[in-house]
Amino acid sequence: MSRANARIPVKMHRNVTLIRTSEPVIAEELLARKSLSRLILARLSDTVLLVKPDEADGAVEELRKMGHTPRIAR
Amino acid sequence: MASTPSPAAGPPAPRPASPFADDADPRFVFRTLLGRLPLATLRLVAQARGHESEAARAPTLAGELTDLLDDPLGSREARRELSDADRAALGLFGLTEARSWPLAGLRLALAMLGVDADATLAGLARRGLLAVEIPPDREATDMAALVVSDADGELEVWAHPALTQGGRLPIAAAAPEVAGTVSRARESDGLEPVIRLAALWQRAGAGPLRRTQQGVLYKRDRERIEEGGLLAAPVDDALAELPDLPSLWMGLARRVGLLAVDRSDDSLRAAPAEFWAENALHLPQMLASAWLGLRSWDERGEPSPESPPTSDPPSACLRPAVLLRLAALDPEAWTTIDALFQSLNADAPGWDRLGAPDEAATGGRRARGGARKGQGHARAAQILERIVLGGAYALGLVRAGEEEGTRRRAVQLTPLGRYVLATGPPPPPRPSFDQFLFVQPNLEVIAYRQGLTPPIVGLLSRFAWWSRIGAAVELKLTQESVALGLESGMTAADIQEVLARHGQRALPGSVKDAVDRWAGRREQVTFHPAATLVEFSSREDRDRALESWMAEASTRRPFLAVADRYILAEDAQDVPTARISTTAARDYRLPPDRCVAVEDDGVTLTLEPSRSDLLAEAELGSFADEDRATAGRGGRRRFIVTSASLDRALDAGLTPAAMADWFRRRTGQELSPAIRLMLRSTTDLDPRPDPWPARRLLVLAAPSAETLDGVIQHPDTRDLLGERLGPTTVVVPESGVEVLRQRLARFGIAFTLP
Repeated sequence: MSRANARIPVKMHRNVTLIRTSEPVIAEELLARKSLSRLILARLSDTVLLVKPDEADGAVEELRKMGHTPRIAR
Repeated sequence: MASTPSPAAGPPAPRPASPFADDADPRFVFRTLLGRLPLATLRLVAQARGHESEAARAPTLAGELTDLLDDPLGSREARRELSDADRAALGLFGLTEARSWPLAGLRLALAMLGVDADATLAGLARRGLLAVEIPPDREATDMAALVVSDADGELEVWAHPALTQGGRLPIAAAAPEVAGTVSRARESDGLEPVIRLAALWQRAGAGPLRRTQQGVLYKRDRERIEEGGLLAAPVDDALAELPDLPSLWMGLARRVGLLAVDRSDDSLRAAPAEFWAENALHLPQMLASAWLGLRSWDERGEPSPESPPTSDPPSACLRPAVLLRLAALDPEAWTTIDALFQSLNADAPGWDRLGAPDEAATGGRRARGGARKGQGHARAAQILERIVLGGAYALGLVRAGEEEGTRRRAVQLTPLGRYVLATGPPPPPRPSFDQFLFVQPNLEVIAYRQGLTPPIVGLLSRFAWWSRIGAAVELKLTQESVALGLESGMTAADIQEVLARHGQRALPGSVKDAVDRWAGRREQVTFHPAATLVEFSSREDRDRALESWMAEASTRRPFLAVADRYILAEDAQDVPTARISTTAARDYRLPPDRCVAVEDDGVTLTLEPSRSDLLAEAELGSFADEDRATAGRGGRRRFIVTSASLDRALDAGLTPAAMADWFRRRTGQELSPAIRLMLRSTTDLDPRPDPWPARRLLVLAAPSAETLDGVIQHPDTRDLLGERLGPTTVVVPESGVEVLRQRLARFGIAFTLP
């Protein structure tokens, strides 16, 4: 089998709760908000934040309190 | 009427607990209830239906009898043999879209329609066409006898759904007395309930309505839906005031499907925006049917805590009967409320007691019976007015006028009312006016009701908040409302186009700018409640996969590179499974796995790659430092807990208790002593203890364990020794050194001191 057609070994992470921002500076802004940052477990990249699994509703509420109207990816 | 959910905004109606779920298949319920009857009774039912069977068990025979009704030919045969009275009884289930009715309510409604309720219900039960929900703790007996028993009015009666859709109900009762010439006729546009439900839908869309275990809304959510008074305000042009309007709207919204129960947490959530596109055209009819069978709200209002419990049937049972009496009139004829009241009294004498306090509950104090009767009469008249001039009028089912000369209130069914009752053709569509919106630069929108229709109400509800409902209706464009519109699939251009198409003037620039700005702002933050991250072993693998996947994927939901080794997919279905080999998978909705091993030093933690997840990595990173230089076997990532890393974690809010809990969940062990040791020095939980005592000891070292055993055992020397430290060493107290030297000399042993 050629390298191009080989199946790539991966690890799947399903049902992960994330916040993604368009700019790194917005992620900084979110992390600077104490009530939101305690719901965030890690910053996976400049623009992607990992949210605690059972805090999804709370995180959306906090985003809205900050004046954001996040797009909810269904 | 069992399809009516328990009230969401008030105490549940007093109903016997049912073993069947709210959404249980009525055919299953029907079969189960029949199966509880004794076999001998069922054989009589089969005989009455002309069904021959060799079944030896009641459930088997019940199944056969139900199968006959499930079969289209069998149900057609059964319907052909129904009398008008039978059709009226079964038709009430279909008219109200109810799977079950309370027995007392069904008897009352049939009586109001001039039907011999007892004979009809007993006949249907005898043929197995009705089934009574007998409490499980009661022995099932003859249902025909049960349905005529006064003591069992609260029991629920179920009909097989194949028998309940029969078109126009045959009405045996005479029409009420026709009114004289009527003037000042008026009718509502029927939009008030539609707009109220739209406002409720918006509020539920902004956040789920959470309920207690009793099915009551939490105070915060109740206040949220009542905010601004939009749902609690009286219906603008209703001729009779209705009680507890938020509960009415909530009940209707649930029955038509605008609100649905989320089984995961029992909260009420808004239906998807597609509901409006699929149902808005028929919403007036849907609302009318929902109202006819709504049991979670009652025209009598919520009983006060002091009022005695009542065994009366819900007033929902009166609604179809009252309207069907009006349907007995010629389409052009009017009747007065008084005449309607009298005609109901003639066929169902005593129905007006429905509004009076329950005699049994009040101890049967008959001395004041006359006063109570008068009170009940007035209350019943009020219930009738609330049904006809309140609910039915607001829904556009009834028009009202004034009888000339007497000035009595006169009513007649509208074309919509006749259509809902299956006594007339579909009503003509409302004339439409395209330009009915006045969009103001301050983002307020005034809508003239003449231009509103249920589909347009639905369309506007997707992106503008209803803020006032009256002769003119007001909406408000806000960042949140526009965001919800975008969430439902609209674009900023769609919103502006709707406003421009229906606006009387050009769309103000400030409105256009605001919508564009809010739409742009929404793209700044995306929330993924259940994303899929695909983790690759190297950045090169990830980039190669991303390139090929993007070339093949739809553009609607592109894949995104995250950090060095991940691809983000909004939906797991989008991942091309044929191109990958899944070596490990982790579902973050499941409890966390044990995926961390503690090494012997107690401070080195190793991540098990096949079972670990992003959470574990992040959690570890919060209180330990990754040791990138010495990765463990198989490329396992190692983390070292140090005092500095612990200080960092504690500063960030991690508590020793939370850390101990994490250790139990992720390692299956208690906190290691080494970490506990570090925690002692970094937390205030263990206040700084007294200094540990340290002293120098004199240790005697013997040449062999055997010799030392003798010294420790011998009575001359054993009391001069301290703690044995090892096989050949023992502590000697300073005070006894010289005595020990002398005693050992007796055995030829000497020792030296430093």
